Amino acid sequence: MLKYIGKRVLLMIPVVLGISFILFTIMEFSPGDPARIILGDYATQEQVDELREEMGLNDAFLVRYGRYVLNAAQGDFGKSYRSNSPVVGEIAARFPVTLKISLMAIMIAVLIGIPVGIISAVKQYSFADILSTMAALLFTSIPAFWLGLLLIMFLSVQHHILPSVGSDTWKHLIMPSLSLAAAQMATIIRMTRSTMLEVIRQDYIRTAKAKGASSRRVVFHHAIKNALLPVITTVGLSVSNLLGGALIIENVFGISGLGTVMVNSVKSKDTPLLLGSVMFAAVVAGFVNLGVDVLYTYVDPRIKAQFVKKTKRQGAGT
Amino acid sequence: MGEHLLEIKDLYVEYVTDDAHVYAVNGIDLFLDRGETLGLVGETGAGKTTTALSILKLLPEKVGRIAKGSILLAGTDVTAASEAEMRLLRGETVSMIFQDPMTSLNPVLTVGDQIAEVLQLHKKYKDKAGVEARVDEILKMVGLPPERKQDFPHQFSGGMKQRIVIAIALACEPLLLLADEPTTALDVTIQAQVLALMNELKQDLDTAMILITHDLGVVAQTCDRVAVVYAGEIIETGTVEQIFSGDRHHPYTVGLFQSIPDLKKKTRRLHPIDGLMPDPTDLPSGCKFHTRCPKCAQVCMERRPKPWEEDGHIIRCHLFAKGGPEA
Repeated sequence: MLKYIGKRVLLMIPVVLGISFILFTIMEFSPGDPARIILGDYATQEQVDELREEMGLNDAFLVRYGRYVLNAAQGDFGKSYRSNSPVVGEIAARFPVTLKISLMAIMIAVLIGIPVGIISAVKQYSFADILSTMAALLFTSIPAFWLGLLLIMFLSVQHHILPSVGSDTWKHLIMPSLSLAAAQMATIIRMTRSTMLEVIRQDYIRTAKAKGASSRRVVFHHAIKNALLPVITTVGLSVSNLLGGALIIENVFGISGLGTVMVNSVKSKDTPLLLGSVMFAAVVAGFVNLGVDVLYTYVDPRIKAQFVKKTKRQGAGT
Repeated sequence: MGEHLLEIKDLYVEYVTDDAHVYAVNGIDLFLDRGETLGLVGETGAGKTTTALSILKLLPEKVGRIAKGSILLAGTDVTAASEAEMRLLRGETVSMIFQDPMTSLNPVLTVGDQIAEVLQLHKKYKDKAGVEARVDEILKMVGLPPERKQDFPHQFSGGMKQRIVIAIALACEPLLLLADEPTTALDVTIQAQVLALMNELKQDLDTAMILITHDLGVVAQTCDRVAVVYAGEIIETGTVEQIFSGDRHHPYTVGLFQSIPDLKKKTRRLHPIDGLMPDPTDLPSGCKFHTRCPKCAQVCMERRPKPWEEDGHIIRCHLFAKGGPEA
């Protein structure tokens, strides 16, 4: 098991390298001069040239990229061009808000999505099922930013229930989390419903009924665990989606989280900050998915067996 | 009358879907006494499994329904019983060994838990220790080491899974065991073991059994009585002797036996029954076998034959009706 986790962590390195290279290239080809942006419109050309030399911007592309990677490998992700403070510090300051919104969103999505999906499947073609299927379709179709704007209009502007901008209290986080959660919730509802429908038609469910188990027991004891296996994977993928969605939602609600950092660093050609924050998000997503896969082995004995067998055989052999 | 453990009278079961109306069981009568084994023989799709599921009242929801008839099981009318009453019967009074052992066990629960569940549901033991002891005992009875109760189904072979399915079915010592092709999914050596095991258990526990199969060899080996099912009807029933060595048979039964290779006779070809079983959504009128029957007469196409009976040997065929098919 530890070997497997180690392998997965090592596999993240090429992913992160790839991301950094692509971003570095894109930033290289996008217009604008970082030195000019730092110094402002009123600086003279000499001043700009001097700063470019100082920042090493005149070196060849691959030399600069190589330097960045070497420094990053040693934990130095550089300084933000704009604020001149270390990238790591910027991320550490901004990430907690994004994390809060994402966690709240995923909790809303899971706590509503899974039960609704199960009810929907168990009472197939009932009114509740039709309603939840329609709601799921609606929520996958609505863009998160539009839902965010609707929420602001309704809850902040018209009824003054929740604050529309900022991230000072937990009240500020409700609407961003809701708008983020909607699409993921819809995916979870649909996934849970379809896997549950598949599971309750299995032979072992009939076996359970033939033992005299009540329908409640059949659903909760026999069906759910089997049905939730694929849902766990979906939840893992949702987390990566949420980090991407946060980018847009933070701008809608004026929250200065990791998403806002990314958008602003693109605008100001702040390559070190952009690379640092995107790589950080990628690593977080990678670890979440690794966590999901590890969790999987604890829920599904068939997958767990792939890791346990070896040791067991050794034990039997000696 | 009224003394039988199971008595099915004039049972009709239908499957209704949007595109088709399937007449799966069409007027089955049968009875079973304690400790007796009845073989239900017939082709795939003849309605054998449907009959068994009707006894458990576990027909596919919304689609399958008992259209007519009654099923009396240990004094309870199954067709009229509520879901709660049925739950008490299932597992304790009647249990079923399902056809495919590979899919009949829950992959995420240990086999020990799955055996214990039926005991807990019917509150056979007051404490956990009692349940565990019984699980060990039943596993030993089906020839599996009790230590393996912590293992999951995927860690067992097909034959072992079938033993576990049998263990679940027998855990509460039911009065009636419905065995739906318990050996079909197994290879021949395991088949013999499983049959021997079921015979042994039947003698030890005095359980009555309905053995569903299309293997006549298995029937001869294990059953007391046989019922031959064709297109949802029992066309011939009697003791194993009457069916296997009697001289009067339904033409379908004759055909069944002719399609089995005989080691003693030297024949170049087998004699299969011509044609296929009729489509259960569109059954022929009169005797349902008339489309394939070599002795078909005019009356066979018009009227459903009445049963002919002699010493409990019942044949539904116009050939044996009073005065023959011409009458």
